[in-house]
Amino acid sequence: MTIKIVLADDHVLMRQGLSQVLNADAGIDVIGECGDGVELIELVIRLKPDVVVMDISMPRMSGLVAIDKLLAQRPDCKILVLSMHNELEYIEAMQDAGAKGYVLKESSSDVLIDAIRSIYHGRTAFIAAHQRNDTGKPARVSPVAALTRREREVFFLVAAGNTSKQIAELLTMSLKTAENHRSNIYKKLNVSSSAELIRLAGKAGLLE
Amino acid sequence: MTSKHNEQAALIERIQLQQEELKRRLDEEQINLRELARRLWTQQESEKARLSRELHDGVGQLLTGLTRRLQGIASNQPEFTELYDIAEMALADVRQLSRMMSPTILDDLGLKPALKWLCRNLFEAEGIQYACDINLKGDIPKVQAILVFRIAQEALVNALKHSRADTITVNLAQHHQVLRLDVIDNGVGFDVENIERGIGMSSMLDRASAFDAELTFQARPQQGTHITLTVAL
Repeated sequence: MTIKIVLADDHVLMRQGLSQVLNADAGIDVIGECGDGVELIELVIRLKPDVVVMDISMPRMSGLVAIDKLLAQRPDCKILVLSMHNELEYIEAMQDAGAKGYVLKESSSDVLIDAIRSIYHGRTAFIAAHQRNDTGKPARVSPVAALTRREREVFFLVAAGNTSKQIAELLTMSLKTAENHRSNIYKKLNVSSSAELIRLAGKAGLLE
Repeated sequence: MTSKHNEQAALIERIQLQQEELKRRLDEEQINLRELARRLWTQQESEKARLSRELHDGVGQLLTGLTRRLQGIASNQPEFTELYDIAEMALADVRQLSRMMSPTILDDLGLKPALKWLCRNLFEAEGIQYACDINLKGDIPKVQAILVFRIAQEALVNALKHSRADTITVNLAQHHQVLRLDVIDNGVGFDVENIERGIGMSSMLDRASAFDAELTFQARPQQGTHITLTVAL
């Protein structure tokens, strides 16, 4: 069973490169490509792909509006955003808009393909913040060493982009408890936001 | 007698007509000037966007390449780790500069996330408490969005540089067809009457008036600064 993909990016070279990389994977088939949001919507309606891989900054219709329209037409549409922006606001905005995943353009093709598989199987794949194409450099000291087992679970859920409410649901605990864990983790790791935590996790190579 | 009266009446009428003509020309000049100011600001904005792209795509790409190379070297030879860290900082600085110069987030996501991003970027690392409360009813047209963003940016950077505040509040609200931005800090303030307007302050006022917006400063020494921008949609 191959995963059918529609690819949207206004940079032709970028798109061709991506298309090659994805088609080289036996489980993935790029069935359509386009360079703006308007075309994307037409293509998705016509081709019914399993997963849409799209950039945010595109001519004619911004990515955010395109996601909105796509989901209005096909609420079950699985969207993976591929972006050069590693800021928290971007990731949150795309998550709020209903995307199922967010991957940086500078990520390796393995990361991209894993993300496509994840969201195809109904999971989410939000990765972010200063992630490097690591050439196997070992983490200096793992930041999670200082955390309790429960805090580690919460840590990884925060790093994966979950809100306290989602974490509470996933770990069947109260919202208050989830928030307490979160603030203890922030204190122990000396960070003040989920963005910083994600950055820290990225730097330590803990995001994969 | 009558002929003198007639003469006077005619004279008054001529003067009135002349005055009306002058007023009309003055109004026209004003409109022209405002349009010119608007064009200049718009031009400056697109020039900044161009520079920002060049910075990002040019120097930024070179630094990305350099950073990757150094990372590879440092993974085998730890003594190069510091060089890698420096290159990475340089890359982060160039990206930051490029983004502050032309905030693509404003085009991509709109005013609310852009202002949140601005606050986070400016204050998080400085350890300044901030609140950013934004209530908008729909999409804001691009012209007004850029105006609000740039005024907020200037006000917040000023607060960061000069106010010594430890708490900063940004509010943006929409009432019917009017947007209102408030930037409030609890810093050292200044004497509104006796301050010589710096470039920053003048340019904020110029910019606001070019787009028919109203900008006010309320401040007193040691009692913080409160800047309000109101703009019609």
